[in-house]
Amino acid sequence: MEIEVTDVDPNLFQVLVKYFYSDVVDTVALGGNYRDFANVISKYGKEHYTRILEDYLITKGTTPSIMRYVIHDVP
Amino acid sequence: MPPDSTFTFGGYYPTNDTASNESLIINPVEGTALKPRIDGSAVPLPRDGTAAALVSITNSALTELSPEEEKIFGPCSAVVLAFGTGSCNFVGDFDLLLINNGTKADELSYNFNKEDFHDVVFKLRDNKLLYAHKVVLYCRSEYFRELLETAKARNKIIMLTCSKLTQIIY
Repeated sequence: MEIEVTDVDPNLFQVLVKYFYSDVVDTVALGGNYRDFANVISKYGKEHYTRILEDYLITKGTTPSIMRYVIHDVP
Repeated sequence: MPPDSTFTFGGYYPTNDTASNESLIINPVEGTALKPRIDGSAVPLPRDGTAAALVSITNSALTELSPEEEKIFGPCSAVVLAFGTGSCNFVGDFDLLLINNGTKADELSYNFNKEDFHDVVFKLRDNKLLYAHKVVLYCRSEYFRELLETAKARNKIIMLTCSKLTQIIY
């Protein structure tokens, strides 16, 4: 079966398919283009989108504001 | 390694002279201190000489490799030195078979963009070809699952030409 892909940067699409096989985003091949990759994965693998975004935020050292809440013990 | 896990190996069984349910015969590697260390039983083997033979081994009898052995074989949990089944043997096919510590994901990622057994070819924008396997796409992506289900006919060409992607704001 042939699937012709003309709407995506070939490099990003290759990273996407590699992610399907390895469960790891090849950040080297991605070349820092995480934003476009997130766009691609939101279309072709939307069930992975949250995780990809989480990985991206971790690499950036960013904590989403909702995760900054600390629940204190009530005395 | 989990104590009760079972490893299954496949291989081409070369002759019709096959006896079922024979025990594995593990031969030592010449020139090393390795001894036979895997105990297991073979599942019934096909007799037509064409199908793959599967051998299941539980790892209850496995022991870890020594550091010296790891230098020879690399990091792995155990090593199957040779398979033999009565009058015919697998030595030619399984002269040395390592049981890696790798995960299923590692094994799967090895097949990325490999032509072996591929059943999908992505034709990318720069005329590059990317080989893939339907089962991986089907299992990993809801998008491709729907795509493959709607295009079950063989050799059908699918074009993904929609260029509008969802804008995402971080």
